[in-house]
Parts: sequence; structure tokens; C-alpha cells
Amino acid sequence: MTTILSLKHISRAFPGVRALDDISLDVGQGTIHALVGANGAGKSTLIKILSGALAPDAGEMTFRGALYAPEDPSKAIRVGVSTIYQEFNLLTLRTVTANINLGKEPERFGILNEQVGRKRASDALARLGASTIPLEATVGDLKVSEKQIIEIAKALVSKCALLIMDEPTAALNESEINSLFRIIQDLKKQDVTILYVSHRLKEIFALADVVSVLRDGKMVLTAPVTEVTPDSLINSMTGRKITGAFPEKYTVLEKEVLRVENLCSPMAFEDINFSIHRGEVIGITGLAGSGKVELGKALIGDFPIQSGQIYLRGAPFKPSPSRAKEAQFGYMPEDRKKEGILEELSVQRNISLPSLPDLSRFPGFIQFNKERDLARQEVDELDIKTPSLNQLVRNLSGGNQQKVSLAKWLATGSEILLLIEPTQGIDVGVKFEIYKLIHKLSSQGKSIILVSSELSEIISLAHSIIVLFNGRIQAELSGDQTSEEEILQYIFGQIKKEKSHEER
Amino acid sequence: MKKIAVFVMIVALLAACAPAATAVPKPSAPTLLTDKLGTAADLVPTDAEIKDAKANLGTGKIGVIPCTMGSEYHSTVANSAVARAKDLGITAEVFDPQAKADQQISAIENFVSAGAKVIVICVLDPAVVKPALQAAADAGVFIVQTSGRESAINGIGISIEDSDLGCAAGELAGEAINTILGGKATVAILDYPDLPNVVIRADNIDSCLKKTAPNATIVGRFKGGITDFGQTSMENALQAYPDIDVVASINDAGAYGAMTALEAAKKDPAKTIIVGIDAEANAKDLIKAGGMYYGTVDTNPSETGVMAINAAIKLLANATLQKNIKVDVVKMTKATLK
Amino acid sequence: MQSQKKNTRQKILEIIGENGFILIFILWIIFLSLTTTTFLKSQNVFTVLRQAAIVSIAAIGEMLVMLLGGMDVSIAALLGFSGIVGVSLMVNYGVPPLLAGLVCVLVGGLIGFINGILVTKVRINSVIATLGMMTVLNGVALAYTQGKTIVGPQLDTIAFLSRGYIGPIPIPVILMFIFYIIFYLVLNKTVFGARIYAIGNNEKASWLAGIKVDRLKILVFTVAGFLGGFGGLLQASRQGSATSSMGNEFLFPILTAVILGGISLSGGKGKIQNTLIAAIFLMTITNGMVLLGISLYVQGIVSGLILIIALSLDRLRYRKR
Repeated sequence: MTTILSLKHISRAFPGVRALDDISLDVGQGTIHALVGANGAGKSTLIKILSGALAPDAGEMTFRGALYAPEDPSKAIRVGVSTIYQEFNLLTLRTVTANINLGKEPERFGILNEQVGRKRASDALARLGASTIPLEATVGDLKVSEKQIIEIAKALVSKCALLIMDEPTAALNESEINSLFRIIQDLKKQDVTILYVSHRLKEIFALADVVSVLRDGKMVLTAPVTEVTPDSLINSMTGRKITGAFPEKYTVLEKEVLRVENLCSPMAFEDINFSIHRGEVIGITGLAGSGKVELGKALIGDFPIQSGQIYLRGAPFKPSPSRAKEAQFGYMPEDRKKEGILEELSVQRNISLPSLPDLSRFPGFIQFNKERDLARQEVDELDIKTPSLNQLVRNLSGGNQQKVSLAKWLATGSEILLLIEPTQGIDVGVKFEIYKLIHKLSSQGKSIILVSSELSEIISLAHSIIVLFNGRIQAELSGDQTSEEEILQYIFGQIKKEKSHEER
Repeated sequence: MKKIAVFVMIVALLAACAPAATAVPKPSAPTLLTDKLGTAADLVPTDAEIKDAKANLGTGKIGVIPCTMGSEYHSTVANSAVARAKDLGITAEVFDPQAKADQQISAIENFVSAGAKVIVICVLDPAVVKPALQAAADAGVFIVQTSGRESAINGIGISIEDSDLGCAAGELAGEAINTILGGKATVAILDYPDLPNVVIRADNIDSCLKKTAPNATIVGRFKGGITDFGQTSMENALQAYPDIDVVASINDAGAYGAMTALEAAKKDPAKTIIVGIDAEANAKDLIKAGGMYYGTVDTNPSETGVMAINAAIKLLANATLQKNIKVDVVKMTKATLK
Repeated sequence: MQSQKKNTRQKILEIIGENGFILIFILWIIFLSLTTTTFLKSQNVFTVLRQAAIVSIAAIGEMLVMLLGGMDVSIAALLGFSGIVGVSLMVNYGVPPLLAGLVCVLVGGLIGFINGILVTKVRINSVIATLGMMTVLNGVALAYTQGKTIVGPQLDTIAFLSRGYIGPIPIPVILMFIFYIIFYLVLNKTVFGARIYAIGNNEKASWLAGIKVDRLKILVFTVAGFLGGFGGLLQASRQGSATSSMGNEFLFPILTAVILGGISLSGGKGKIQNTLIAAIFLMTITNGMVLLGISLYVQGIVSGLILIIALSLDRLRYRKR
């Protein structure tokens, strides 16, 4: 079998992190080659390099025997490498024909040859078994699965030899997925090579010939699908262990603080039920797209809820950030730069911001010495490293910024805290400080909802763990009685266990 | 005792000697009379006054703020003022407010902080600009208004009253109607409602025309001001009132457009009358050529500019002058332009 | 999976939204024909069409830029500036009219080209870049003309562009329709047109597909400049002169015609024929008010109201989302 694409020693780093480390990979012509890996393993960086959107720092690629180093995506397409991203690149206001022929419109002296254009489009659709899609339809009106077909048709018209598909089934239903598989298998028969990036192991085993596993930027395994099992794949994907002992978990008190019933938000999550007690740390985890972040945001009103109920200390709670604040429910968002801190303001003002009404005297004048004391208190408690209270938060390190984001809610005396990916992008040392903090808060009786994709973090901190898959609760586990491997299995939707088997 | 006496004598002597240099005290502010209307001749400064003015001006300058530099009339006023200042060896700078009153406010403020001692201004909207002028006056800046003699603050007003202009144009049109059209005509007035002073012109065209030619019918007021508007308005008006044979416009610019429309409607030049205001070069050519364009009203913009600078000199020299100076409005027709 | 098929109500709303102003236009025409005796007379109709010519031709250029997702606020100043150049060449330098007219158009194209460079290479937002250009052009025009009008008998040679007739139809009207037919074909039948819509709809997708986006944008701005330059020539013919602030009064009508005609401000959507209808509609508003004898002092309010109603209908198509 000829190799159509070959990567040798490809590396790519970003400030602070080595995204790809000495990757080597051979893709056989006419195969369906799957690429899997956990969050942060480097998949998207690899796709960007293959599609020409990013250049590698080191290493070499060959495609069809010739050196492959596209300066930009349009060059990659021209050479025969087409990429279909999760967010499509379609002209939503234009027709199917216009989209399929984009960039290669058939013409005579600049005038569109509409007949040839229509023929090309309908031929491409026919190859995909999708002739029911009307050529004159506006692409923006089509279903997601149909849009995807248009993207593939586009690639076909570009005479692509290698088609890279990034999480193609994320937004498709069962029957649409089957149609897609049929199409992919047909393409294989037409000698198109497919690089299929997905986290859905079931699909990989159904479709792929070869699978490669990325872990922490390294290619750890490439093997024919027949020689691996789902478990062995998961083993290869398991994340690294953090050294250092975690502090003891504190006992959970009886009093229920928050209860969620039948929470549902279309396209994000459904049928969510759980409760959390005083002093409890509950971890919510899952892959990207599993709904964990949306669920977290929905709890404080940053994401819409279609149905279901939330009870805060027994009383019905209609989520909104201001109501959450009144209910002493604090929130540390995932994107701290955009949502958690105000970079241009001082440490002091950031910390005191939600508490300002309490620090003011009628008719609204801030009592600066009170503000200062409050800020100083939090800075000391959380050990925030800053030269002064007036330092702009922009100038602090990531970890300390994160602490500021947390401090402001602690300053208001929040009893329930929602943390979304609190240690993302933070170095190990500071991570520990935040873990210690979470423990301390739990010992003070505060309840913490920890949404995170770092399994070791979840296991070490959480009393109970909820694993989401495709928006549904795949499993509820006890933090003390589970392992990373078990969680991973649920994360990948592998084993569907009944709740009754997992009672604590 | 003796020492004190000597000391006192010496001090007394010094006191007597010191101010002996100046003979007659010079006035420290100009004297403004309001008993009659001054003329251009009254404003011509003497050499001594020019010298004093330049001395008092020092490194300062004169700020010139026309109504707009986009019309030939106003730009002529501004340019002639600058030329006159240059002849006298003084700096005069122009700022174009583009026919916007609020821009004039900024201009006044900027000139004051840049060290202008006199501001020559054609006030677009008295209500809007007055506070800024007052502030400038409070800072000791003299103001020469070239637009309207009412409420001249800390200075004088050289008036080219819009009412006089309008009336002159209206009378011109009326006279033409009487002599050429036998007293009966269908009249369109070109107006420009955006500027209140210009509306005064239109009002006066209306009233004076009616007084001069009472049998003429004024069918309406249409938007002029610039050539394109005048043309569009006249094209539209001719659809509604195809008998229009007289157009009286608040300025020449709009009248040109009206003329194009009337020509396109194949009006007989001998029986069609157009009257404008501003005495632009092009208008004068058209009048001399003897077609539809019958007359215009001259306010002698170049003379106005010179007068403004002359007035500035007198003010800087703390001379005595009339507060209100009138610029004569001159009607121009083919006969007078020979 | 939610169905994304449109139901009838949504379809009707969309049709009204996309063409809503035409309904208002038709109502206005009916109103005028009932309340005045002159509106529908052929002479008046041609008058209105003739008045629409310059605005609508320049509006084509503006529309092209807005289809890309940008905006050119210098178009009116460009029109005026080109006109001043053309007239000045004829009157002050004795250049023959054909050559002067050509220069007029080329100057417009050059300014448009510079606009294109500012937007693509220097990466200035199009509104800001063209705003700066407008200020520069106004300043240069003023400095050159010193506020004076340029006029001369040489301009009679180009008078036919505004006053001539071919048969019963005024030449500016013929030119207007010719330009619209040409650009209708360009936008709907050529690769260039298809790519303009593509870039306006999704610039990234177009770039990924290998379209040279920057090059195309520069070309569009240049074409808009040519059209503006030609508009300047027409205006010079209409005025029979060049004034320092000439053309500035067109900015509002040009932008209004394009937006009223249903161009999406984010680009990628719009029908050129609607721009033409909108331009004509605008002219009928002023024309109608004069015919109705509405006082000059109230005309602003009336035209404003009509426009608000027409533009509100445009919003209907964006309602559900």
C-alpha cells in the first residue's frame, strides 16, 4: 500500500506549551485513518498544520511523494488536501451550486458558465448519494448533515485526494451518521484517503482501517483497528499523573444546598439530575461538546435552560448572575480573561467589585479604606502574589489572576462556588495552591461545583463525580472509589452503566 | 531729624521725576459711539493708529471666521481680509466652519487660546455662537462682526443685513416684473431654511417683492442654496407650476441651478427673470450677457473684508469709532454694470 | 434535530422585508397620482428619472463596496472632486472634453484604488479609511477652487450628457439604465460578481477556497471610484460648472438608496435592481412634496417619516432570531 501522507518529526510549540512533540505518522492511500486523543492532546494543532493554517516549528511532511509545506490553506486545497472543520466554511446566503464551485467557478472569459457549474455540482452530489439536495437551495437553510455533504462535495470538486474530517458526527443524528458512513466508505472505494478525527470510539471501530493515538503532543500508537480494543485505546490516551500528595478530603455535611431536577437545554444537555451538600465538592467532567461547560453556565444563568428546575437551599431558583450573587452563589468562569477579571482595573477593585454596595455609604460613595481592608484580607488568605493592591490585574501571572477571579466571590461570602476549568493554563505549583484552597473552602462548609477536564484533579478533589457524554449523565461516581481509567471509559461513552450499580 | 528730611525730599523728587516721560495719557480701550451708522470711510485708519495697533497686537494675530469658505461671497470676504492684513504687516488666519454654527464655537475658542487679539466673524447663528463670543470678549479679545449689527460684543458690527439684501433682491425682481412683464408674474422664491439668517433674506424678498409688484403671485418657496438644489427644486416646481417666469433666490449659487432648469424648459429669456444675491463673478457675467439673469445684489465682499481689518486696527489702537457700520447694499443690473 | 424549513408566514415576512420599501413606493405613487394631476405626466416622470441618474449610478459603486461588507463614505466627495478636475481641465486648461471626461473617470478610479489599498494592505476599517479620504478630498477641493465656482463656455460641449435626448428619452436616463443592466449582468452572471457575494457572505470561506480576497476588494473599490468619477462628470454637465463643495449633497441619498434597496450591512446580500428602484423612490419623495405644495419647512419631517417606515419594513426579515 502506498503512503499518501507522511509526517516526520513534526513539532510545534506555543508560548508555554509544547503542542506537538516529534510527531511521525504515515497515512496509507485509500485508507480511513482515525486520529484520537483526549482534550489538549494536540489534535487540533495537528489538523491545522495538515490543512495549511499553521506551520510546524520543525519536521517535514510529504504528500503524494512530494514535499508538502503549504503556506496557507488555499495552497493545501490546491494540492489535494481538503479539510472539513466542525464549524463549516460555507456561504450561507448563496446556493448549493455556488458553494460547491466556490473558488473554481466554471467560466468563459469571466462570465459564469452556469450549465457546467450545475453539472459539476450535481455530479458531486450524485457521487455522495445526495441528489435530493436541490441545487438552487440556499445553503443557510439546509440541515447540518446536508451542509456537511456540501462541504464534502466542495472537496470533491477540488479533486481532493486526502480529506481531513474534524469531529464530523458531532451535530448529526443516528440516521445521518449512517448516511455519512456510507458516503465515507464510497469515497474510500473511489480512492480518496480519509483522516477521521473523532473521540467517538464506536464510530472509529465501525469505520476506520487504522487508528493513531495522540497523547500530550506525542504520537503514542498507530495500529490497524483490528489489533486494538477500545480499552487498549483508552489506556493509551490516559493523562499523566501529577506528583505530590493531595490533601485529605473533608467530610460532607448533611444539608442539601443545591438540587437540579430534569434540567434540559436542547443541543447541550438533557435529563440532568443531581444534588450537592454543604462542604461537598462535586466534579462534572466530560469531553468537549459533552455539555459540562454549558451545564455549569446554565446553573448561574449564563446559558439558557429549556426545562427543569433548580432548587437553591430548598427554594426554586431561576438562574441569573445577579440572583446568583444575592444567593451567595459565586462563579469563576473558564475564560478568565474575558469573563472573570477586569484586566485594566486594580487587584483591589477586582476583588471588591461585587461587594461594592456593601462597602458604600449612602448615596453610593465607596469607603476606600473598607475596600482596601477587604482586598488585603483576600490577598492574604489566598496568598495572591502582587506587589500592591493597586497593581493592574493584567500584570499578574495567570495563576494569580485566577486567584483574583476566585477571591472576588469569596469576598462576598459566597457559600456555593462554581468553578469552570479553574487550573487551565496554570503551572503545576499554582495549581496546587488552588487545590489547597478548594479544600479549605470545603472544610469551611462551602460547596463547590468543579467543572473540569483534568481527571486527576477531579478524582483528588471531588467527593462525587458526574460524567457527561453527549449531554447526558453517563455515570455518577464516588471520588474515592473510582480511577482515571474508569472515568475515561464513561467519558468516551464506552460502557453505559445503570445508576443502581454505582450507589455509594 | 535731618536725615529723615533729606530722605523724604529725595523720595518726593523721585516721585515727581518718574512719570514725567509721557505727556498725554493714551486711551486704554477703544471708544465706541452709537449715535449714527458709520461708513467704510470712517474705518480707514491713520498711520499712527496702524502703528499703535501693531504695537498692541505684538505677536498676536487676527482670527477670521467666515460663514463658510464654500461660497464665493464668503470666501471673498475672508480672502480680502487676509490680503489687507498682509499689506499692513499683520497676521490674519482663516478657519472654515463649513456653514456649521457649532464649528464656529470651536474656532473662536481655538483662536483665543492661540493668541488672537481680534476675531473677525460672520455669525451663522447668533443664539448658538453668542456664549463663545462673550467668553472671548471676557478674555479681552475684540470682535468684529461682519454679519448683522445687533448685539456686537466687545467690538463693532459691520452689517450686511440679510434683511437689506433680501429686500433689495425683492425690489429688483419687482421692478423687473413691472417693466418687463407688465406687473404680473408667477414667482418662485429660492430659500435655504437650514440657516436662520438666510431665512430672513427669503422673508424680505417676499415682502419687498410684494410691495414693489403687488400683482405678482408667489407660488412658493423652494430649496436652493447650492446649484444642484436650485436645479432640482426648479425642475420639480415647473412640473407643478409650469408658468413660473420669475425666480428670486437668496443667493446666486442656487439661482444658477434654477436658470438651468428654466432653460431646459425652453423658457423665453426675454420674458423670464432671475434675481440672485452675492454678486458673484459668474452672475455678473450672466447679467451682462443679457439673458434670463436679470440682476443681483452686491455687498461688496472684498470691501467688507478690508473694512473688517480696518476696524480691527482701530480697535487695537484704542481709537474712537462707531459701533455699527453699515455696508451699502448695491443693486446690480445690466444697466449698472456697464 | 430541528427542522429548518421555512413556513409560509416566515416566507411572506421575508418577501416583505426584502422588498418592503417597494410597497411603500407603490403606495406613494398611487397617493401622488390621486392627489396631483402632474405626477404621472411623462415630463415629470422623465424629470424624476433624470434626477435619479447621478445618484443611482454612483450608488452602484457604493453597493458593490457594501456587498463586500464595507462602506465607502468618500463616494460623494470623490464624485465632486473628479467633477472639479474634469471641469478645471476643460475651462482652465483647454483640454478637449473627451479627454477631460476620461481623466475625470480615471481620477475617480485612482481615488477608489487608494481606498482599496488602505482597506486591504494598511488594514484600516473601510468606514474610517474612506472617512479620512473624504476629508482630504474636501480639503483639496476647497484649496484648489478657493471657494470659487469654475465655469466656462467649454462646458457646453458636455451639456448633452445631462440635457440631451435620444428620441423622447433623456440621455442621463438612458445611461442610468445601461449601467444598471451592465452591472446586473456583472453581479449575477460573472465570476467577479459571484465572488463579491461570496466574500461578503463569508470572507474566510472565500479565502480558504483560494479566492484572492484582497485583490478583489481593491478592484471593487476602484470600480466604485470609476463610477463615482463618471457621476462627477454627469454632475458637472448638469450644473454647467464646478463648485468647491459639489457632490457632498449626494452622500446621504447614495447611502440611503443602497440601504433602502435592501443591501445587508454585513454584506453578501442585495439585489442591484432594488438599489435602482430605491434611488428613484428617493427622488419621487422630493418631487412629490414639491408637487403637493408641502412647505419647505416641513419637507424634512415628511421625507424622514417615509424613510423610517420603509426602513422598518426592512427589519422585518431579521425578526425571528
